[in-house]
Amino acid sequence: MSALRRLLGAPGLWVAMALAHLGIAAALARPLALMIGAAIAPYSIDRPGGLLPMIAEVISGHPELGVALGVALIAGTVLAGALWLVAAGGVIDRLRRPQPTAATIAAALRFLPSMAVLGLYSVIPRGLALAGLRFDVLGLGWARALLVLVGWTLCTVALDLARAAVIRGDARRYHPTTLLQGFAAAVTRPTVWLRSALLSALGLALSLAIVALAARGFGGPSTTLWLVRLLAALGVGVSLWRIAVAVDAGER
Amino acid sequence: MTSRRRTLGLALALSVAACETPPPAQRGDAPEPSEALRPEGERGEVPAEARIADYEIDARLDDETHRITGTVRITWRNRTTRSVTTLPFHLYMNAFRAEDTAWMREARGSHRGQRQGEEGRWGYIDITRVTLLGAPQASDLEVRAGEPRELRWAEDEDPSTMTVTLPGAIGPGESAVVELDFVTQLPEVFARTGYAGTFHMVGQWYPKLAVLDPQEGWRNHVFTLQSEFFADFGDYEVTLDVPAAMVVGATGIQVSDEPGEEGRRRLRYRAEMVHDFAWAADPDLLEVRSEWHGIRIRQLMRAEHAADADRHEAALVATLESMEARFGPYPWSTITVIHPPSDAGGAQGMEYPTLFTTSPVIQPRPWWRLLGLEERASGVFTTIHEFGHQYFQGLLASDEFREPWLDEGMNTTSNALALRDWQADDPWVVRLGGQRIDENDMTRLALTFTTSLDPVRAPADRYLELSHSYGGTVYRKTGATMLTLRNLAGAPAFDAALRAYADRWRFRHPRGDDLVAALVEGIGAAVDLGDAGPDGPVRLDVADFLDQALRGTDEVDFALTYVDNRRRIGHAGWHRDEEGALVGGDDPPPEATPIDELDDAEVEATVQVRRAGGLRMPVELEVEFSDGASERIWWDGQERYHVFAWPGRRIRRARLDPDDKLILEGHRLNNLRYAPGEAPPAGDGLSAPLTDGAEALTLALMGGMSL
Repeated sequence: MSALRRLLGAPGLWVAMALAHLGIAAALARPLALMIGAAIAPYSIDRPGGLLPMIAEVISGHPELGVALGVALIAGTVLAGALWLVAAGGVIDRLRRPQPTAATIAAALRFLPSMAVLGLYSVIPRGLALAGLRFDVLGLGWARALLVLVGWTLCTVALDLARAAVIRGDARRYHPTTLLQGFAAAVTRPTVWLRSALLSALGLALSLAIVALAARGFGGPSTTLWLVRLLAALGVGVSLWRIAVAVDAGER
Repeated sequence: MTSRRRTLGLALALSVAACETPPPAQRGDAPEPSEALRPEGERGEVPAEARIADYEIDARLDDETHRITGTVRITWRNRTTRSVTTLPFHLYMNAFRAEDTAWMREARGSHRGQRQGEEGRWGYIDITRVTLLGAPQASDLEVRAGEPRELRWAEDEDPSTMTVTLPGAIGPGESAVVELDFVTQLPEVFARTGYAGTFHMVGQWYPKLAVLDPQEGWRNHVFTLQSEFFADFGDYEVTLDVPAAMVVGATGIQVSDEPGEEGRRRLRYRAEMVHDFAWAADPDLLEVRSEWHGIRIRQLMRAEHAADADRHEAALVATLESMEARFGPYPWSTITVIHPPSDAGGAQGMEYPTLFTTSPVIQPRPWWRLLGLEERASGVFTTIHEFGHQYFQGLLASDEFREPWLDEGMNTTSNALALRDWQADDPWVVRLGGQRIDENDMTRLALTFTTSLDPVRAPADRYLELSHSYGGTVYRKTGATMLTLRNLAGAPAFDAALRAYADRWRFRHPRGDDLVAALVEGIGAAVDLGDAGPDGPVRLDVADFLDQALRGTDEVDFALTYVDNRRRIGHAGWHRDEEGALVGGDDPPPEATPIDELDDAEVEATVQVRRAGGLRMPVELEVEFSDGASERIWWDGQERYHVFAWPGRRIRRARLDPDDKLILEGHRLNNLRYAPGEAPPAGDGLSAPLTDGAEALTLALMGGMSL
């Protein structure tokens, strides 16, 4: 069974994860909407193409709005990370084989500690990869960004492979060597790494598309937001597909 | 290697070589003009009495030590009715001589975000000799032509000025010739002037005579952080001795280029009816020449900025066209644009007669296209602004120390007009997708910050660096005041008044009162704005408006504090009839009766406008009724608030300043208000787009991390 077939065979999982993402983003935006509304009330603005100066004026008068926006963005990222962590065991188990929803939830709960520990281990190599952006020790200039991206995708596929191995029962749940074995598996199976990296890149491209769409359509019709949500749902599918690549590699 | 591969390799090599080919040292062949001024038929008359101080300078640049050694001979004519016994001079470069000069005390080693250089930190000018060469028309002086006499001189308390003591008086109508030897040490580029590697921007580098005011005597201001310059008009003959490899751009026209000592050249320049002389020299400068209506345009830049030349030229020509039409002909035959290299940022954006420095165009990044981000202000706006200074204060030579608003603020006004003339009806500055920011928006944003600390009409040294009020107040608030007046008075009246001011004060030293008088005279003491309903027409008192806006620190801010439909007062209760008996006694509708359930005749639309800012001026109100009709009415804005009522009408919404005329009003969020229950489905117009944007960014971050 290919990774894509595994994904398409679990439409409920995709829908559930996408809805969770959309729900988190919408919920985080809601307090911001209330704050902006309170800052403007009882007035209105009727300048469809001239919102930027109005935004500058409202934020200069209410700097807490800028803070609230930052908090929403950070909280969204943290919650997304938490969501994938909590769901990881269930997601992998469901991508391995069809099963009832209850079994998926049970797997998520059963493997949560292990997924969390492995996730914590992966923070170290991810941190090292990100440090490459800050410190150009190799003198690579702009090429270091590409190197960081490669390193980041390696961390991602290694964690996916390690977690999949734990779910299969092929690896120790909490031992750091499990993650190291994931790295070894990724490096020795470059096609798996490549497919995973391509899907990571596709996810990144979808995120950039969301930003571009939001910027270009800012202040425009509400259909823009629905297009953004559609792209985000596709992005969730791409992430699941990437995990399915690791699951599929372990099953072969 | 196959033949095909060889061909491909050769093509690649050629294309690489083509990319590495340096651009030509000169583009365009517009010749150097033979006269420093345009023909009289094109430039108009130059008043003879405006020529007061002629300068002959012979200077030598040592490009190793970045030092200039020179002699300046000044012929000064006393055109006032006063006699003088001293000659005060500006030694502007001494502002950078030590950390305790007036300029440096305020700047604390920083100017426009640029730090003072560490290598060549100090700049100075040292006067080594002052000689009175002759005073052919000064009978009181104990010298005659051909009998040079050494004069005493001393720096004043601040070294940016000095005073020369004359042996006798120079009376009205007399003249004198003095010669000064000087050594100027340039600093590493800082605050408009200095060197960066081989690039030299040489401004405010020689001793400059102060201005003798007929009423007040000598005006010789100390050079302070926010002040610029002030000098009399005259003719300049300048000889520059520079290394042969130097490409030089200077005020005026070049009249000769002769070999000097070994490896050097002597370049001679002439400028007529100017009040300053600046120049730039660098061996790596490329030259782009063009011409517009007999004016030679010369741009000098390094290869790094060569691609910007066409964009700057378009902006310059557009500004020339706009300003000639609005403020009269540009009198000089030349304009030189210096593009300082990237390591000389402190020299960017400064004006001198017939020469200015600009700043680079920001090159669009690939991600700009992704976001739909465009800008058309970087670099070219500097060109528009600095060229505008050829009029404000190159031609209308106000005292930049005493009244900086007269040049910076009026120039900002002219820049906005030039931008509109150039970009027609779409003068956007920045665009992001479907959103745009125009020049008015930029002005209003500046007004929301520190423009209420100091008045516009204040000397330059009043604006302290820590207050950050100088730029917003002097540039933006002045511009906003003038553009608001233009919107209220009508463009034809305002433009004609400004043109009359420009015509009257060319080659002279106008003051703020002269400008205000010209505006009041041209526009009229009061402007009829429109109907105020039963209170009659509303008028703008032009002088009062200008006085408040320019001398005060009050802001313009109007707010809609009440927009609603109320039950109209009817006839419920007891009233006396014609015989004096109490009749009636009807009850009013119950308090809880919803307005919607009342007949239209029982309702009145009510709007309260509050003047939240301290500045008193009229504002227009537009009300839109529930039946789709709308009405406009003016309020004179003299009291703190006013209540408008429309019996028998139901209001949907009200809007202040519907035509966006009050550029001086920085806070606009409180200008549109819906009656309760009438809010549009889209909400307040800002919450939804901002929230949607935040949600989209959150989703992008959530999906982009490969978690």
